[in-house]
Amino acid sequence: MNPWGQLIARLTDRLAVDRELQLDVARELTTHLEDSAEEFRRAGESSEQAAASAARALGDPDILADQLWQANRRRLSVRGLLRWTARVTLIPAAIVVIATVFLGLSGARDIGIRPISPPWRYLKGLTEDQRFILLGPLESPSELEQAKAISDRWPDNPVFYGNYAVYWMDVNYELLRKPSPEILQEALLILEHGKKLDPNNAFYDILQAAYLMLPSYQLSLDPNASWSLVTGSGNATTRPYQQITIINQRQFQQGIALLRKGLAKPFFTNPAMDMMKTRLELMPQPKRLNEYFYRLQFHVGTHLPPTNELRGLGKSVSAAAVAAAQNGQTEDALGYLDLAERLSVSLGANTESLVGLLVAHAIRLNALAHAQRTYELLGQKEQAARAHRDLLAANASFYDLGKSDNTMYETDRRKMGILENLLTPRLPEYRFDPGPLRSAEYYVAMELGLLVLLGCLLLASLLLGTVSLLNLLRRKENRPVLVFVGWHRLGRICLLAVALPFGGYALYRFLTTGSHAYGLSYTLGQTILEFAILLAVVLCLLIRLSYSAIRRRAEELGMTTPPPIRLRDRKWMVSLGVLVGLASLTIFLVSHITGPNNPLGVIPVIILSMAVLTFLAVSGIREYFSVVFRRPYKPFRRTLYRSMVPILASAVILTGVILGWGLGRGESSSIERVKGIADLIGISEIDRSDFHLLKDQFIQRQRELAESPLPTVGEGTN
Amino acid sequence: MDFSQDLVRGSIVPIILALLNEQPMYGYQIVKVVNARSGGRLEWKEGTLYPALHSLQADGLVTANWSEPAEGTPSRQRKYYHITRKGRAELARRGQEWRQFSLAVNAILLGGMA
Repeated sequence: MNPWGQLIARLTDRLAVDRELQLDVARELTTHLEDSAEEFRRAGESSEQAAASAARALGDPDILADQLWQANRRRLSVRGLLRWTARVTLIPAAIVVIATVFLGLSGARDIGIRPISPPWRYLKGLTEDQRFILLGPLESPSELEQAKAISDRWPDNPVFYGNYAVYWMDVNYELLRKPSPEILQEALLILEHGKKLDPNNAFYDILQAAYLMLPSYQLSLDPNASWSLVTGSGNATTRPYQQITIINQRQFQQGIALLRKGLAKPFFTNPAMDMMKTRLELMPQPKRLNEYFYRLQFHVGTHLPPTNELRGLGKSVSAAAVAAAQNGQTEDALGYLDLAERLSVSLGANTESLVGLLVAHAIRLNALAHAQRTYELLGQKEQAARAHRDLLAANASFYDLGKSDNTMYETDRRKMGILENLLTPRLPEYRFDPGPLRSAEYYVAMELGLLVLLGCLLLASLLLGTVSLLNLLRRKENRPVLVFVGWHRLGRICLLAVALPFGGYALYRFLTTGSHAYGLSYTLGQTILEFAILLAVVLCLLIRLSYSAIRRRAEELGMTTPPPIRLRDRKWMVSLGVLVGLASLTIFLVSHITGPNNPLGVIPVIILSMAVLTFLAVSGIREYFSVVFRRPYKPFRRTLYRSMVPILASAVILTGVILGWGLGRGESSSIERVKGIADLIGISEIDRSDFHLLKDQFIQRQRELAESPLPTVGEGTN
Repeated sequence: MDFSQDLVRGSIVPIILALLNEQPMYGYQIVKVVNARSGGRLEWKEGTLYPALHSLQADGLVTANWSEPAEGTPSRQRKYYHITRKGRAELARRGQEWRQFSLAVNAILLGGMA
């Protein structure tokens, strides 16, 4: 029992406003009195006499109490201010840091055709007009109305109007398949206005022709005649010829006249594609993956021209050639053949989308097959044979594209990130660099891992803070003390619990770059396990070192503290090592059994990661908290909870700011290296693959056809 | 011979800084060393030391940390004080001041008597 309890209380009473300082001074004076009494005892005094002599030697208690108060007054103010600042700012600052890291990633929620809320920072620098072109009026209930609003604001802009026209046709697709006179009239008027704004674009004339002709004929399959092709697998497929029954000759000829007019124009472009390009040019270069997603939505959301109508147009014109030949109308038959081929060539040579190219190719094959039959019916055997040769050549050139060595593609697939694996078209010799996007995905995965860690720390901090607050409200005495472990110990915690594990992981990543040359879709299981272990290590070290620091500080202040835990007592660490080893072995075996990219391979990894985390948590709780929960350590336990709050909150701020900033920078530098991958869909898939060879053939044929005049069929009809 | 209280009080800070400049010490140790080196002529009230140490700590002239003492003393933690760079500068200033002051006083007192 302390014989100077009352004296010490009297000396330090005025310091009670700062419990930690009061305890510190009390402990210091007590050790002084103990040393002094010891010396008096050695000089021959009894214990009671020695205690009294030691107290006397200390001097007048009232004067000393006043001197101690005077000496510490300034420190009390400064410490009070710092504690108040920490209490008020640390938790909100930790929440702000987490929110900032989260906001950096949050754009990923908006994956979809139509963005719900664009990443605000990304479009911050745009003018109101530019935003309007990108998003239209945000209150518009549909994309069609958005497109119309944009067009209405700039009524003379052919791209904006064309985009609206394409949307209109897309929305009214079902109605236009068997159009009523009213809807047909409306469609023709919309296209007519487009023609005025963009007079050199064949798009409007050809679509007008397609819609106008659609109700004027009926197509059926010829049961007696068919043509065949050899597919890429070497099997022959047989396709029947189309037979046409023209119901409204005048309307059909009007359509042919429009088609003829369109084919005479210098180009055929889909205004929706032009709109997409306009929007992409407006948008700044993405700096985060979510901005890249946002940019990507404008590709996915681009409407293609009505391909069915164009195919129908091609089929009807080809079938009309056969029908004319059957009726002995040689000139018309040859004219229709020429128009059908020119239609396919115009589409194929101008298209910027793979779908457009494939439609053009299908129209061309159909046109060549019907050309062979037309020539046969007209008795022109040589031309029929040439058409057949052209058909076989066109078909073979298409399948030759797929014969190129694709093993590289399969290897590259492992190097692609998740996004690239989902979006990259499986085209022959598709060329692009998967590195930057893959790297950005790793950074985003690490940011997600960081968010989980920060979330866990903040949650723990809030939980302990709430418990401490309740303790403070409920108790008048033995209230929990908020102790500051000191800058030295705080630095040690930061170094060992945060810098060392993350630095170690960075070194591991640096030394094993080979495994990260593969995309996240291939290494997802391994990555989850790595993050789970890293997270568990950081959490355990942080709690362990904070506990140790607070325990030592409490010991310094004279509290009854649990004994320190020694390394040799930690048998669970061996068990953890075995568990991690088993986890690694299982991952290795599973990845070899299920093969790469198999989502089943991730399941055991997740289960094992959970097991490792649970094991660490249970071991930690057993090791640290089972001791703390013993009765004599109750005041220490309350102090531990209260003092952990600022340490955990500071860890959130420190880790969140440094790592959040670093990972964000890494993600930005990776995304900034993404050049052109943003154009995966819709723009450059032809140029990036061997399909550009097919397009080149169309361009070559267009040049040849440009030297001969358009056929006279349909001429003079209006 | 008893020194006047003003003289004793004025010498506490330079003495503490001078001792801590030699090695880190805890409060009781400082008292003992002062008594030993002054041959018992500087009889401090032991409690006077702590307000002085706390003031020095508040001024950033010394820092403190709790640690186990060296062998040969009871194995209890003591609060050790360390002199800082600022403390050393202050010590140098006080030493200079003391030398100038004692020279001046000596010149008057001893010179006059002579």
